[in-house]
Amino acid sequence: MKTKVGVMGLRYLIIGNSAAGIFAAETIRGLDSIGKITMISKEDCLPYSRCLTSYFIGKEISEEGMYIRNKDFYTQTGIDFIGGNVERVDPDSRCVWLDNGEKVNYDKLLIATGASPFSPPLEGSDMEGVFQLRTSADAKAIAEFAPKVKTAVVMGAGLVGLKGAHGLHELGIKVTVVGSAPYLMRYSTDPESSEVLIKLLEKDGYRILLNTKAERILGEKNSNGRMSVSGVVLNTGEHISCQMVLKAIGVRPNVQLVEGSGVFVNKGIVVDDEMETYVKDIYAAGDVAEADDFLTGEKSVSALWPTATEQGIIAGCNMAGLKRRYRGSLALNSAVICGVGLISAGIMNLPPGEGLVLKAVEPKKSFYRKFVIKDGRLIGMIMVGNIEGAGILSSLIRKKAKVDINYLNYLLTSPVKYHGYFPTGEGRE
Amino acid sequence: MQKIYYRANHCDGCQACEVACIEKKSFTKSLFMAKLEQPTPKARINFEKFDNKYWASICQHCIEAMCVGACMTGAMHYSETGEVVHNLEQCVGCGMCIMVCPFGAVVMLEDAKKVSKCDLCEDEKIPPCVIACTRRALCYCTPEDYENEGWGDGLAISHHW
Repeated sequence: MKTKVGVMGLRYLIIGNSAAGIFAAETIRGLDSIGKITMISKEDCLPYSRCLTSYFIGKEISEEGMYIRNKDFYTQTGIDFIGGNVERVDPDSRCVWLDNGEKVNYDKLLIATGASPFSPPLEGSDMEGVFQLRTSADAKAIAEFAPKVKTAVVMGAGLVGLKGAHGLHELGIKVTVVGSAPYLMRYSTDPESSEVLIKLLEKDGYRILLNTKAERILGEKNSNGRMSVSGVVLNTGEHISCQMVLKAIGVRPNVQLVEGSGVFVNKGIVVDDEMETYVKDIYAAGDVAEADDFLTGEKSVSALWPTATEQGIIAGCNMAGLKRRYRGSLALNSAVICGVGLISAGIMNLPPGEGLVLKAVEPKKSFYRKFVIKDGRLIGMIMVGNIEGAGILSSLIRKKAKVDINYLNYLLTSPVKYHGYFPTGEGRE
Repeated sequence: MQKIYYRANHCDGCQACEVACIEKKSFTKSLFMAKLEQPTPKARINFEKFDNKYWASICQHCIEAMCVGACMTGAMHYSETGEVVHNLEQCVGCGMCIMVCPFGAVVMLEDAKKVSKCDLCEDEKIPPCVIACTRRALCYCTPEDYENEGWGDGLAISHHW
């Protein structure tokens, strides 16, 4: 089990109460039973899962179903929770300032502020009926507005866009997904698997437009005198009539609070392999952090739930004095689209001429599998259809071990089962 | 904490453990009726013959489980005694746990659109699959016992990511 080295009873401050923040707090409490843990979040509610907001829109789960911890979480774990917005971090006097002028001191600080939706300016974005999907408040606003909606346009064909589209589709709304990329979920699929998914979506009544951008949102005055969405004009010249626009273009890390504090920010807050920023005793984890990538070794922002929790655990250990190194983030995505599972890991698309690609397609069964091999090592995979055993392959990627090509060829069409490859990660104890 | 270990060199692939698991996980608790049940109960232990050996995938209740970190609903969590348990109520079947489990021990319940895995049958003293295993390929014991008995290969205690 874990052995504790270091001092107990420090003041830990965690900004943000989502994946990274919660897992860090739990880890710290496990290692330091007398330390004072304070959490600050501008969302004054129980920790919930942002990945579940689309399920809430589609009425697949209740509001309580979004919570990832029960209502006694803060008291049980011994966390002082403050609902507020952190304006500024002051590393010299080891404190943070809230926007109401309150000051909170710390010995170890974790910034887990996550990311915010971002989209390029678009004419008509301030109208009623234009939404984004990130927080539970966004989801509630969409759910409240949805009964007035018959058709909706989702801008962005990424994971958030598709999940949002699914939520609206569940309510009986006719959804058009507009994506600027040549295929769906471009960071977690390839053109062929995207083709399989598009067929499924279109069969279910979605309309998918790729290589397309929305040019402006049209509006009309509604009964309470406000401008409300009436349609979208695309760059192809087409005009789609709709009552709702969901913008799901992408996210940007929330780094405003560290401006002027000396914490180095590139795309996100840059951290070393102990999740510590360039300023001592300030850590960052989750969607806001820019950490090492597992396969390339370069710094990158990986805005995924499993990455956030893992970074939170590592940051929590290091903050509590147990030195642990982060092994790097691996792109891992799982989605269920029209009842068909998709899991992808690592690098899915190599430049032509590089590496070796194994593929198996069965369009009728919505089955697709692709393994990407480089230097005899598995570095990426996509599974559509039967996804059981995907973790065995993702841990093979983690293991960075040489893999027999015949073995991978065998796995391409058969169910992936455990065959004694012990995946206890190298470089991680 | 006790958990189920699998020793490949003892297994002859009779699959009695799978049968015992299906029976235990069925609604009627009867193997004969289980066949008629909808949804069809699924075993939480899975076998495959590969390389002239039988390989089982079953939850190892990792000390620092990747499925717990990947679960976006909080359905996968640790019990107070350290077992990795899954709350079916909270599960939405997103497949994140399947995506990371290095043992392939999480099974998809297609009809329910949820996942499940070995819960060590909390209401039984010894899990039925272990009782059903006549070749003692399955052992229900603590990691320490497993190593001390000389059964293991030194990997049992390090089952975490």
